[in-house]
Amino acid sequence: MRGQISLEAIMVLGLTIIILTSLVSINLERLNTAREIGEAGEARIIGELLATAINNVYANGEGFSLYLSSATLNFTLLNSTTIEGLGVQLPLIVDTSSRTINITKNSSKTGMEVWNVSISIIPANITREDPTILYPQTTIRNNGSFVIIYANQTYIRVL
Amino acid sequence: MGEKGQVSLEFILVTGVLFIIVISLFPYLSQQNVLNKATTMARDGGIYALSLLNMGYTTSFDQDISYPTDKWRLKDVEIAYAGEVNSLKIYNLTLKVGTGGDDPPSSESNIGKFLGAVATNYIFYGFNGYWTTVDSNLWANGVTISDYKFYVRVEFESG
Repeated sequence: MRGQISLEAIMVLGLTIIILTSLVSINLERLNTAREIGEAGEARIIGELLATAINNVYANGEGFSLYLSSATLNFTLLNSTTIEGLGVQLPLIVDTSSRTINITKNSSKTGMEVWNVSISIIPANITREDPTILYPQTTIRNNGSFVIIYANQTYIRVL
Repeated sequence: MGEKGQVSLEFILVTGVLFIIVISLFPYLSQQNVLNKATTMARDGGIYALSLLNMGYTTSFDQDISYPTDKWRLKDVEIAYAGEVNSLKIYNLTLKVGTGGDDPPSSESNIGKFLGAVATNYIFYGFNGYWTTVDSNLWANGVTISDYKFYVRVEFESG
């Protein structure tokens, strides 16, 4: 009788393991997918934020400036692929010819290489300069001729 | 006749019947588990890709690809047995995608291949625990999981 019970136990245990293994891998995948979709949404929102700032500075005319603090635009977290990061590839590209901000999102968590998204901006006269004491990172200023983005070139690149 | 012997005999009968049930159901449960898992993973892959496409993201899958201008959604996932080839049970999974106001592309279009490849990659991950490369070869060749081969195709419909 003992042999009989052991064989059944093995069969039941086998089935349980199969079902549990399936559930674990599906749950892990769903966690990663949910996280990835959330990060992609946040990455897009960052692009929208930057685009809105550029458009506002352009619309408000000469002398107007906006400061985006590290609490608003944290490039370290933006670039990080850890749980709190967004996996955005830096530098962010401001393309003046197509008048877009181009964001590339690393999606290795879900087996994809990269996803790209473009957000439209109004002005074409945009340039980048290194941050100064007067205009720290990340400040956007209208000098009358150009919208100047004060940011390190490893973070934002203007084409 | 002692009481102990009687109990043992009943126990042997009950456990014997249970044993037969478990043995006879094992192949069916195992197969059903594989098919359920493949369907679930394909659905998750479709939802993931559509979510990012609807957020305005583009992919490097192919240069010539028509992206959604309206919101697309996954309506249904179907699985159908398509026979046996070289001892592999072939299953075709069909993702039914509603394209809103957009004209529905063909299943063989690049966007159809892309969505199918992402879903296939998800099936691959579900059974292997790691990702493979999302490309047109993955879409064309499908994915082999032990005795099964899965192909994912996408059917677009307006609405």
